[in-house]
Amino acid sequence: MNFWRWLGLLPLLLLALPALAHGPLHEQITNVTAELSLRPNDVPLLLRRGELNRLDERWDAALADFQLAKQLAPANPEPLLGLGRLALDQGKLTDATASLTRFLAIQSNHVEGHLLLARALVRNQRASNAVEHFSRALALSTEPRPEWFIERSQAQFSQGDRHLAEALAGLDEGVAKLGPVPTLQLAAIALEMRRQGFDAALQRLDTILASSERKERWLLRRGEILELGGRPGEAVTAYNAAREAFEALPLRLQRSLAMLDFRRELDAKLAALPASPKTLPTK
Amino acid sequence: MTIKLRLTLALLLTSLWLSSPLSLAAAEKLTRGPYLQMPTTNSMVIRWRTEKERKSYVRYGLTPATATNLVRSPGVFTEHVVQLTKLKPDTRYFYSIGYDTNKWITEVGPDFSFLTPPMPGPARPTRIWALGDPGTANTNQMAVRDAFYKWSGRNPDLWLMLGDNAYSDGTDAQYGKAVFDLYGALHRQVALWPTLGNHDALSASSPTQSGVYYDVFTLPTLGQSGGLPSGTEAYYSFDYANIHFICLDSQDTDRSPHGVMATWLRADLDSTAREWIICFFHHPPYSKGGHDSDKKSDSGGRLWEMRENILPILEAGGVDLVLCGHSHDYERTFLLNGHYGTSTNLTSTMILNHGDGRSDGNGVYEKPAILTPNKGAVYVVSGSAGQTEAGKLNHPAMYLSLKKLGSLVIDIDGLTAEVKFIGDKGQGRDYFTLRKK
Repeated sequence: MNFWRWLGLLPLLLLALPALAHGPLHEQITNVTAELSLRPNDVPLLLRRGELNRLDERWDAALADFQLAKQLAPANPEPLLGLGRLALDQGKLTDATASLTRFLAIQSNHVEGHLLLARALVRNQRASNAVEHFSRALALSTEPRPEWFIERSQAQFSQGDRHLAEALAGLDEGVAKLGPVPTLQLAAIALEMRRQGFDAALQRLDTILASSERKERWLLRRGEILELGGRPGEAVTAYNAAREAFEALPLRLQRSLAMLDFRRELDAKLAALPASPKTLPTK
Repeated sequence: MTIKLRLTLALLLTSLWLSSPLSLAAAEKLTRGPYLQMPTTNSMVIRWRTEKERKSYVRYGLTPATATNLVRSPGVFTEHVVQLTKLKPDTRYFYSIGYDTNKWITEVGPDFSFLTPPMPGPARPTRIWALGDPGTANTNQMAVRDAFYKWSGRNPDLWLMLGDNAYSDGTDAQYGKAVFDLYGALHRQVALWPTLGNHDALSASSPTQSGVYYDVFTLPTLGQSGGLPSGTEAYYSFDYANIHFICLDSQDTDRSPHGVMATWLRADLDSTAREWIICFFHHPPYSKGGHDSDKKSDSGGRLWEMRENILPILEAGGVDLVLCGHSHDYERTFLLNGHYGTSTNLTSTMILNHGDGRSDGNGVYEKPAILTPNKGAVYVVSGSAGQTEAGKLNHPAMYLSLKKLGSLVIDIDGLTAEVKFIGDKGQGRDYFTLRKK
């Protein structure tokens, strides 16, 4: 490279200098920029820098990279995915929906594409369409995350109580795929309570109880569900079971501040119900 | 010697050579491993990679001579994953990997053996080795590794990687060099517990749970190793003796206070009965090194959000130690509680012990033996296992900040945790003690 070409790179290097002091993301942007100065039409490099700029919240720079990549490779769907991610990050929901819809028209089995579009649609108050894309992502993925099932159930439920059963079925699909994950069951319990499905809520709670080494809090929750279900006698039994679980804990756990609060809460609940000991015995 | 005799002898020697395990090792190219994953009190996952697609066999036993129990995973692969089950807790097993019942790639011996974790609950002396941002695959990383090996004189019982495990992009080739080749011998004997860093995330995606990090590790999603099921490899927990470990994903998972990870964390903390709680994730809540935890824009707000949203949950759950990387230095706090703002908002009451935490200094950090919320935790940035970088290193919550290479060693014995930062030449650069009484 001759002197004048090096000189031409100088402004670029000067621009990059402050970035060097700001950690790996900036360092990577600088490195990719240096590579791009030698191959300015390299689409994978442009996509990479666009993504790095997006992560660094340099929105304009990211947009310029993705747009140039799109212009250079109009048949390549990747710039559309980048533009979709970028618009979603910026809250430009219409743009995000448009880019991601076009991306998925080419790459219809792309898990992340469906997830991103679903999230854009949720934020754009189009829950019904979002559910379709969450479902598609869940069907396509071999390793879905619990978050996706919960996001889909929230999208379903946001359409009104008539979608409750659907939302619950979606969470159960998650339990069937991932196992007895408490976060899925807790989300399902909240929905069951909303439709007064107390027995179903209790069954779900039992799966958490089974996987939890410490039972006292879940047994307290069992009592609360029973109380809400108008079954005070069984609630007392559950609270007593919570007390037994509490008493079975090592003293170092029983005496913690959190457990002292727990004990007060349990005392209060038992005291408020008929035919129950008024307080827990003091150790 | 006649030609016939020579030929017979050559054939005999060749057949002897071919039937020996060593010859098979040479015949079959092992391109990764073996390495151990997801230990439980009664199981262990053994993984390896071969150049050609092969069947996956493991034989194992309580001694090299009795390593005759055979396990086979169905199918033919280059990426092999075999789980040994029905093991005994706290027991050493010897193993060999191969691709047929008589074709073994490795010898059975002490180099290929592991100890299953003890039953959770009762205390036992435990050595933990934590490496933050190690993955440079350069002489720095090797020096830190060798310094620990020499200093320790024995394998750790557990080892953790605090993210940025393989530079610069967490590609499979980079993982090969910086994670699997560099610690090859240790991988055969002790399972690694990793967390995702920002560089790992350049070749992996937590939102889709895909990519290199998720492909090369087998991590518990169903509480197989203790703790509550998380349903994802992005964040998980496990038990070892009297210690509960929690790995969070500060990089790619929702860090909001009522997000799914936070909901799981609360439930997991409520469910543990262990005496010690150690949490690890990549982005430090407090740092004035290469990253500045006071800047909301730093790393997309990850340091800020972990501090503001996740620390209150951890401290309420009684966490004792929080280990992070990201800044390529060593920074460790006093015994701290309730500091969820920027460094300018740190008040004296948030520092529960203003001392050095040393038994030969002005006293160890003490906490109640009773698992009590908000009785203090020590936050350690140990992100210099592969490189160091400039920074102000002046966060007021830190007792000590160093721009030095090194790794962290935690020795837990009953209700005492001795923590040491070991430099790249074996120097003891910092130490402190947490004691519960």
